[in-house]
Parts: sequence; C-alpha cells; structure tokens
Amino acid sequence: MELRPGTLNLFILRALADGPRHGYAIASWLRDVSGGELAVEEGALYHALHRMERGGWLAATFGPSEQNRQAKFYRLTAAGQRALGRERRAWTDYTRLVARILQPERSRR
Amino acid sequence: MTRPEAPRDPRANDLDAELRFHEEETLAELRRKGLTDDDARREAARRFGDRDGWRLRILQTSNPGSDHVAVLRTVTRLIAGVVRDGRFAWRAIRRQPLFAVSAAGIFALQACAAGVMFALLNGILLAPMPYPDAGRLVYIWGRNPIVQAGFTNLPVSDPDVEDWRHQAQQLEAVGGVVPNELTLTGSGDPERLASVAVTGDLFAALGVRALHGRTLTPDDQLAGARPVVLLGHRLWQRRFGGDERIVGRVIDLDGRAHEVVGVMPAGFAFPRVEEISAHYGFDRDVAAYVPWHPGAAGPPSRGNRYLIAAARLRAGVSIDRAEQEVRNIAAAGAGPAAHATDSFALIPFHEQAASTVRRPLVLLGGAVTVLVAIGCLNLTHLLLVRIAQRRREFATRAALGAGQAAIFRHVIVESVLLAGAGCVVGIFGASGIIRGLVALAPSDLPRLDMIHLDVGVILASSGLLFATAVLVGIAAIVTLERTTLEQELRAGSRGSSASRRTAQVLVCAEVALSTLLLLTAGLLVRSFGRVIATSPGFEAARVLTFRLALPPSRYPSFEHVRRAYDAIRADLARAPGVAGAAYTWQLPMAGMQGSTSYVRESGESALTLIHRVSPDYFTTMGIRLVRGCGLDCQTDLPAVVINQAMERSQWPDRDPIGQVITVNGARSRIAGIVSDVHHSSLESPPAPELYRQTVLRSMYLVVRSSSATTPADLLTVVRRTVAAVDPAVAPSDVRSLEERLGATIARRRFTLIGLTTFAVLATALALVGLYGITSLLVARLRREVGIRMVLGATPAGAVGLLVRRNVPMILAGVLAGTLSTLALARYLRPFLYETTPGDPATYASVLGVLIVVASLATLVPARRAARVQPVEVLAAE
Repeated sequence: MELRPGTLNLFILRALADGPRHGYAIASWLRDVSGGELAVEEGALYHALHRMERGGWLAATFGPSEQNRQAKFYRLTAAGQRALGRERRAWTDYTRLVARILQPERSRR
Repeated sequence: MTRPEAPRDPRANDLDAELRFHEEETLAELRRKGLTDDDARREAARRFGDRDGWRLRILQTSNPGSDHVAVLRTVTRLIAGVVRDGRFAWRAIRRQPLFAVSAAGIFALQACAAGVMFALLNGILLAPMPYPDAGRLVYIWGRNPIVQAGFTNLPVSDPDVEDWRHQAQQLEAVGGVVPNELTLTGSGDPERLASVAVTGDLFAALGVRALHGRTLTPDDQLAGARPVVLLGHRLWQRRFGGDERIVGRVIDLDGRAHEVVGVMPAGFAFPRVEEISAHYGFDRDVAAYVPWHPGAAGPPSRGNRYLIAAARLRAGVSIDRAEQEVRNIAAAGAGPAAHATDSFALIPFHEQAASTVRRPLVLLGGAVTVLVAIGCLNLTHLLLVRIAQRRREFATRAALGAGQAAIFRHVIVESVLLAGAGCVVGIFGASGIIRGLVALAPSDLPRLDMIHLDVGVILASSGLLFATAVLVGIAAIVTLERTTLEQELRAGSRGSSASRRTAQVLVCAEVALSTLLLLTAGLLVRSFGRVIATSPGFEAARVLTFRLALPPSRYPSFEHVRRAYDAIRADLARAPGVAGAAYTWQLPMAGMQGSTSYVRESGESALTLIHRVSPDYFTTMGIRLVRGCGLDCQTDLPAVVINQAMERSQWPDRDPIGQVITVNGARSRIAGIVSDVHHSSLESPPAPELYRQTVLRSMYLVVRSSSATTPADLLTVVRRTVAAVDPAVAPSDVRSLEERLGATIARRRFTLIGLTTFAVLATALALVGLYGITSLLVARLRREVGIRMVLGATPAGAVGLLVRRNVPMILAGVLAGTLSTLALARYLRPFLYETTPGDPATYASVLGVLIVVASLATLVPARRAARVQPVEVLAAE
C-alpha cells in the first residue's frame, strides 16, 4: 500500500519509541509489523531519518551493532517524544473522522 | 597516474558508512534466507530504490550549504507560507463576512482609541518645550492658604522679584510678567493690543533671543528711560508686513511714541496661557512686550501681588535648594511684617504644563485602555468561536501533515489581516475624533495645537494593534490547546466544558471592565450636576461685560480716569434697554483677583482679596446686601464692604460693621456685609473679600439689560455710549457673564464628555460580546433544551436554564467592577465635586441599569432557544 504524506514520520517515531535503533533495524521492524504490505523504498526511510534528525526530533550516535560493527543508532529526543504524541492523536482523530464520514448512516437518520 | 584525493565531506563519509552497513546487513539476511548472491543483490537494490538519487537527496537535506543560504531558504519558505496563508485566510474570511466585519470593526475601534490616545500623549506630554535647556526653568508661585480660593498658584510682588534677582545665588536669572493693555494708534484704526509688561531678566531667564533687534532688559524699566516696545511675530507680520527695518522705528502706543527695539521669533509667546491658567488675565496671543513700570497698579509693596515670576536655575542646582533660598530671601525682605501663612513654591515648566492636563489625560488614557481590553476579550472570543467552527478543517490539515506551527501561523495571519483592515479604518476615525476633540476642548487645554496624527502616532497605534492581533491569536490557540481535538470530537457539537468555562470567564471580565468605566462616568456626571447646580452668588443672566483701558496720554491722573469711568457708567445706566450698569476691576469667573493686606485697629494685619468697584456693582450683579449699607453709605471715613466669608473668618465673635481698618494706607470703615460669591470658579469655596470704591486705568464694565433687550442690541448701545464719551477707546473682551461662567466648567465638561463617550462605547462593546457569547451558548445547548422540552420542560424553564448559566457570571463581573472602582477611588477624588467616590445613588443607578441591560443581552438569545422545536433538534443529531 502507498504511504500517505506524514505517515512515514509517524512510523519512525513509533519504531524508536521502544528504544534506539539503527536504520536497518527500523526497516526490518516496519516490514515485520506491516506484514510486508508497505511499499516504502528504504532510501525514503533514510531520507526521512536524516530530515527528522535535522529537525531535532531524533538524535544519532555511532556505536557497535549486534555483530559488533559500527552502525548509526537513532533515538527520540524530547521534541520527538512530544511529536509522537501529537501526530498519533491527530492521526487517530483523522481516521475516526474519515470513518464517520464514510458511514454517514450511523449519525444521520 | 593517481588523481589527487578530493577533500571529502565528513557527512558524506558517515552517510556512506551508514548505507554500507545497511546494505551488508540486508545481503546477509537475504543470504540466510537462501538467495544466491546475485538475487540477494538485486532484491536489496529493489528494496532501497534509486541508491545514488536518495544519497544525493539525503546529503542535500543534511548539508544545505553555508548558513546564510539556509537562512535565506528558511525566509523564502516562510514568506511563501505566509503568502499562501494570507490567500487562504482571505478566502476563509470571504466565506464568513459577518465574522470579518465584526472582528475588523472591533480592531478599527481599538485603532481609533489608540490613535487618539497616542496623539494626545505625543502632543501634550512628550512634545519638547520651545526654550533651550527648559529643564532648568521654573515658575515661582506664591502660596497662601487664606487667599488661594481655587488657586494654589498665586502671583508674587515687585519687591520680591527684585530681591530674588539681586540676591538669589541659586538662580541664574529671574523675571516677571503682568497682563497689560495697549492701544496702537497712528496709521489705520486704533487697535487694542493684548500685551505683556515685563520686569527683570525675563528674556535672559527664558534663554530666548529676538529674531531682529534685541529683547527687553532691566535697563528699559529705569525711570526716564525711553519708552520701548518688543513686537510679537504675528503683529509684526500683520501690521508691519514683516519689514526687517522696523527695528529703531517709532510707533504710537496709548498716544505715546515707543521705539521698536526688536521682534520675537514666530511661535514665541510668554506666558503661555494654556500652561498657567486663563485666570491670571493673560491673552492667548501676545502682540507686544513692554517694560513694566511698578506703580502703574499702585505703589509697589509686598502686599500687592500681580506678577507671574519665572526663573532659570543655575546648572546643577536642585529645586529644593533654590526653593529654600527663594523663601529665605522673601522672608528677610518682608521682615517682621511677613504673614505667617505666606510661602513660595518652585514649579518646573514641564510639570506646570503637564499638571493642568495630566490628571484628565491619565483618566481618559485609563478609559481607552479598558476599552481596548474589552475589545481584546471580544476578539478572543470571536476567534475562539471561529476556530471551534473550523476544528474539523484544522484536524484534517493536521492529519495531512500540517504541523501545529502551520495552524498557529494560519490563525495569526488571519488575525493580522483583519487587524490591518481595522487599522486603516481606525486611523481615519481617529483623525476625525481628534479634530472633534480639538474643536470641543476648552481653549486653555495646554498645547492643543500640537495634537495631531503624525507618522510616529500612526506607527505606534498600528504597532499596538498588531501586537493585540498576535496576542489574541495566541490566547485563542492556547485556550484551544487545553481542550484536545479528541475531546472535542467526542463531545460532538455541544462543545467541551473547558470552552464553556472560557466563555464564562469572558462574560465576567467584560462586565467587570464596563462596570468600572460606567461607574467612573456616573460619578463624573453626578459631580458635574452638583457643580452646575451650585449658585455662583450672582445672577448671570442678561449681563454683558467688557473691558476698557484709558491711556495715560489723555487721562494723566487718576482723577481723570475716575471721572471718565463715572461718566461712561452713568450714560450706560441711562441708555435704553439697560436695567443697571457698574464697573469693577475684576470680574468673577474672568481672571485672577488681586489680594491686599489690611491692618485692623488692634494693629493685626491680614490678607484678603480686594475688589475695586462702583457702589451699584452689588445691585447690577445681583449680589445680596446681607446687613448694613453699601459703598455709598455716608460715614466719616471711606466705606468698605466685606463678604460673609470674611466676617466668618475674621470677626467670628463680633459684629464687623462699624469697625475701622486700614487698606492700602487709607483708613476705612466697614459699612456692610454682602453675600458670598464664587469668584474663580464654581468649585472653589468663597474666600474673604473686601470691596472698596476705586478705579484703575483698566476696568470691566458690567451692564444688565432689561428683559426685552437682546444681547446684540445691548452691544450696539454699549459701543455707541462708550464712543460718545471717548471715540479712541474700544471695548475689549466683550462676553456675557453666562459665557464666562460656562468657560469655567469647560474643562470639567471636556473630561466628562470624553469619559462618558468611552464608557458608553465600552459598554456597547461588552454587551455585543455578551450577546455573542450567549448566542453561542444557545447554539450549543439546543440539543439539551430540546431534550428537556420533550421531557416536559416549559419554554420559560428553558430560558431560565440559559439565564441561570449567565446571571451568576454577570453578577460576579458587576461585583468585581464595583470593587475595583472603589479600589481606584483615591485617583478619582480630584475629579469629583461634593460627591464621594462611593456615592450610593450613583452606584445604585449605574449598577441597576448595567444588570438589566446585561441580563437583556443574554435573555434575547435565550428566548430564541425556547422556541426550539424538539423534533427538529433531535432529528438533526
């Protein structure tokens, strides 16, 4: 399924809510959780990661991976935490609204 | 052949390491799943997408080049965003014209109020004085609690000014002025000139030089000095065509040759009537300055006080130190004859100018602030309602990726756009109001000509307005933030309890602010009523007054002067349509009274105000003779008459009639007692006053017409009668007594009209706000009302439900407003006359009216709710 604008950011924020991860780990988590249904190029994922790092939502450090290789680990900043809460709420509201509009018979007549 | 290694960007290195790690991990994983090397490589490339393309894009994101390029890009993006928001806001505004008009209207009102206020501040309080180093200039005023009767600032005597001039170490220069009358003769018609007689180093003290020629010096006052005159700029232009060779020429004043020694620059005038008080008898525009010759108003003595003194302090000298010196010198000069109650005060020029208007201005400024505050509350509410209506739209935009910042920016841009529209209208309104104010204001309001809208004023008011717009936007958003979108959606169309609480707080605040203003206005109205209900002590109706000045050239002795005035008075009294005529040196409500000291037979001396009048002055003015007989009494000594205030304060236990007192060296007998007159203004209490029959060169004539004569006819009769006695003297300062009476309450009326206007505007604004808030509440409660009515509630009950929500808030607001008025009572006291700041009648009427209209503003929309058809409401859900 194609992604709607803004959602990839939300996914990344959500992925990092469980703790610091490197880009590869985020990509595999996304694939696992979505059951492979998401059609996101990994390049776009890295693009988003760098943009969010620059925007202050994420911070990154180089550190050893599970196989003891140098990898770049991302984690949420305080601003990122707040953004996650906000974006998540906005998204739920939005979907709820869309649902209401698509099922008008429930509220009218 | 090796290429030199290009310097690598560390970011690119990091990115390449990160991407290499990703690629290797992916390949390892795919290989673990059993793919061949080739397949794994192909799959990894497919998952990543265009590797080089993404790499470039990422590098651009994380390394956008030098810093100012980044700033530039941010600014461009911001401007583009604002322009987009502006267009969006414009479309949104056009969809709801009613909202736009009301919001812009409130903004316009605020811009108007702010513009007027800033113009007043700028023109009156902040404009610089036209004297060099004006901070060192002071007035020297006499102080005496016995004779001040409405004037705190009393003139000083000739000997005092001379002593200060010669002895004071702390003063650089001292001078004084006294009102003077001159008649310019020679070429053309005789013309009465408003002039000022100058003593001491006045011009040196002011630090002002002549435009041509020189100013006046103490040498010009010496006995035997050639008569000289210094021309004002306007007279020079008007009468002498601005001829620069005028210096040295000789002109005819009062029939005597005067040499013109100089011309003052344009805009110079001293004293500035608006800065001291019209009561001292100076004219607004001074045509000429002549040297003062003491003796023209009687022998110079410390009891004869008519000079307005001004001085320049030496650099670095404090007011207190100079004041102490001035007092010591005056006390030493008076010697043992000094009056214990006499004192002196030094008032800086700028303080003198401001004190006459500072208090009314502060009051009006406070009223404007309250008005703006109510406007802000209304705007906040309007914006809140509007945002609430568009929550879904904002929610959608947020979900589609618009950040909080974008929504915030959107609200601010819309608010600022409306403020801009309001600002343009408001500034035009302000310029109209300022013109109205200038036309309306009393002529002695300082520097009225300086009040106008300039660029600074416009910038300041629009700055304030835009600050308000941003503030209101922020307030609306912050209130909004507190109720989350989710809550709002869950609550459906009924609105959350938080926004209802906001509405209640707004109602309360608006009512409180308008209560404060209305109560203040109410107290002023009541005081005004009390003032105009005060009897002045004379009958002002049908009395025409004017001034005559007899030049020494044709009336060399006071015997000539007295004969001329008696002839004019007698001719006037006999003229058709005239019921009575008299002369007096000073009129009530027209100018400063002179004070003099008198000595009782016991040797005690005291101060009193003195009136030099003709015997029929009392009957002409309608002043009642309480006891004894008038000035025409036959006694062994010249008769004098005192007023009741003097009897009360000086002879509390003895009948003063028959007592002998010495006034200005003449033993006189007190023949009668007359009723008190409010001489300086209706508000000042009557002071001790002494009447005696004398004439000076310049006197006022008082003519009472018979009931059939119109003022215009009377004026013709007056001119003809005066001309018959001497065609060369012309009546000046011709005004009816009622007009003079009206002028004394002009300033109070000005403050009253200004404040009442603001109060009514503020209340209207608050009521509109109240109406709006209730209407919204009604809209939100439709469902609840509908259900209640299905369950058997009556329409009255439904209205009650709504009113019950608002009335406690209205009452709380009224209470808060009342308490704050009482707390501010200290500042109101100077504006009140025979009215306490807690005047129960005012409070009862104002609060009663306010509660009723506020309740009406909620009742009207509430009744709409009661007409709700339950079925309709429920069907809409």
